[in-house]
Amino acid sequence: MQVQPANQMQVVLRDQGHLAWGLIVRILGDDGDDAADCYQQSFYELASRQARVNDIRHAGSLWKRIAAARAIDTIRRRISDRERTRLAGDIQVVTDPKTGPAAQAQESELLDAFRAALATIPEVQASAFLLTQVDDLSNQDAAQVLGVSVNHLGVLLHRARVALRTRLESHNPVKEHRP
Amino acid sequence: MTTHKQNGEHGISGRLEAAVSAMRSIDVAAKPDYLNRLAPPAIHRPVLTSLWRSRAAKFAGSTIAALALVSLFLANRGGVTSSAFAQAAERVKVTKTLKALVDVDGQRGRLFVSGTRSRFEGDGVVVVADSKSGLEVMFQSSSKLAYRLPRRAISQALDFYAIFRDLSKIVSKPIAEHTDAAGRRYPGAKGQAVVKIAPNAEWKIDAEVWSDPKNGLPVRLTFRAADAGAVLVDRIEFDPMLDDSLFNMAIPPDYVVAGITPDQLRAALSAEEGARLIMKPGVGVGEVKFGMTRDQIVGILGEPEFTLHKVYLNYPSMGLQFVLQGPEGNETLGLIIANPWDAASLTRRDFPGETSKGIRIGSSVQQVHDAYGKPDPAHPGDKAPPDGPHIARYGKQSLMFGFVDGKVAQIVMSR
Repeated sequence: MQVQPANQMQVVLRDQGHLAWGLIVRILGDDGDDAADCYQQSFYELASRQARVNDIRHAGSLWKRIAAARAIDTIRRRISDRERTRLAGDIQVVTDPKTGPAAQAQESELLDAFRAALATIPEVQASAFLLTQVDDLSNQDAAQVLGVSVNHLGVLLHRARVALRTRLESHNPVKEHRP
Repeated sequence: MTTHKQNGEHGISGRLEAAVSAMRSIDVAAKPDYLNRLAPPAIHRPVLTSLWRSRAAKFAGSTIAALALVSLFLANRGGVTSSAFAQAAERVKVTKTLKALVDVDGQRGRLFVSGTRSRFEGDGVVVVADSKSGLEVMFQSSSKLAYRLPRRAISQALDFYAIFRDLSKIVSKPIAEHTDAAGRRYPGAKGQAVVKIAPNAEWKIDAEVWSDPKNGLPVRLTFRAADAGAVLVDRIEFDPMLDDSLFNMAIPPDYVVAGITPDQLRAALSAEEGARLIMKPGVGVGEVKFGMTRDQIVGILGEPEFTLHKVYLNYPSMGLQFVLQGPEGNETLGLIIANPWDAASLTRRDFPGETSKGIRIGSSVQQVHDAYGKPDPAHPGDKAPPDGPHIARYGKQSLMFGFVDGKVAQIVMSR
């Protein structure tokens, strides 16, 4: 018996939800309201697409792809909010990772810089990098949900690595604004 | 590769790898329980389809048009005398009911026609229509919602038996015969025709038709039109016994009527009121801001004209839909849609406002590009037919435009 689309999505929610959630939390660095919003928004977007194409085969991977893109959007917004706050006179205190707090805080700084760098490169590069390097999606699956060939995925990954390394080398360690 | 050093200093090549490693090792707690109870958006769909292209109606409309084509084919098959053509057409005309299986781009359903009434059963959707009254009701079984669809230029409510009116010449040639599951063989032919399916609407169709040699009636046909995709109509049976209950448009007691009827629309906003509805990305529209609660929105705009699933606040009189998001019981405004296209919103007015850069419903693609620049690269699944709707996303502004026929038909903002 053919599974109705609404039931298919419930199955995806049950079986793949924790994986999408994990990716979102890792990208954003927290599991608060922003993460919940990303989770819901990406699920609704996935359900809308599934309703159009009625192909559930890559739902889990596609959800991660959408979730990664929404999470990067959130990072951009946070940085933008932080900029607005700073321009309004709210001085952000930054720490020098060489002389500042312990390794745990230094790791936090690095992660903040990494997120900021992700927000500045093209979304498709950032998503390709996150899906394959942070989430362990296979190149074939990542290429499938990104709508590119495996060869082109390799190009995207190379460009992402070059851009991210450059930005991490020269980043200005300003914190993201966290509500 | 430079290894991660205890004192926190990372080699250049090691910083990226260290960042990736740190991100991968983040402990993730279980997500909040309410996120396990999300329901697929049966209503909310920030995806564009034209008014008469909503899925079920398009499906059924395509089918009706395909069956109309059958009449043209019958009337113009080469090598048959005009009297035979007329007789064949008359054979179809005297039938009063039919049923068939339909398949549109992989979506399957059943079609029943009795005089001016029709019923289409799709995947979780049933549409019942009457061309005589122009009434059309859609039932969605998964959500127990019923939609009274407004009278439309092109709808399922076509008078099938009245379509045998203008016969156009088509060029047809024989194709391989079709053999059904019982082993019966039916000769076929293919051709092209322009089918007039509404007073102001025509489709150019490529079609293949297979007919029963015993009675000349069609049993199977395929057609493709620019706006309708590939359609297969199979196992066509003329004059089956059809129960009247199939065409009952009464709303079952366990269903909720979604949306409003045209007479329920509130008065349109004045020009001054409409001009105050400025959509500011990341901020809101007019006085309504992202992050507001339902009560705050109601305090500004008044009660929604209708609400669905508690979180979709609809103001169709001003062409706006607000979507609340967040923890259950603490939802706040997260999405604003100007000119929503979900089925419940088919009865509404166009959004009278504009964005902070002057883009409004009806603006051109070029105007959007001039205002916001080049849009983000398309996502997989955003493909649209050459002359169909497409979407332009501006992720940095959390803004999306939908186009139909090269004009802005929807604006979506998220916080």
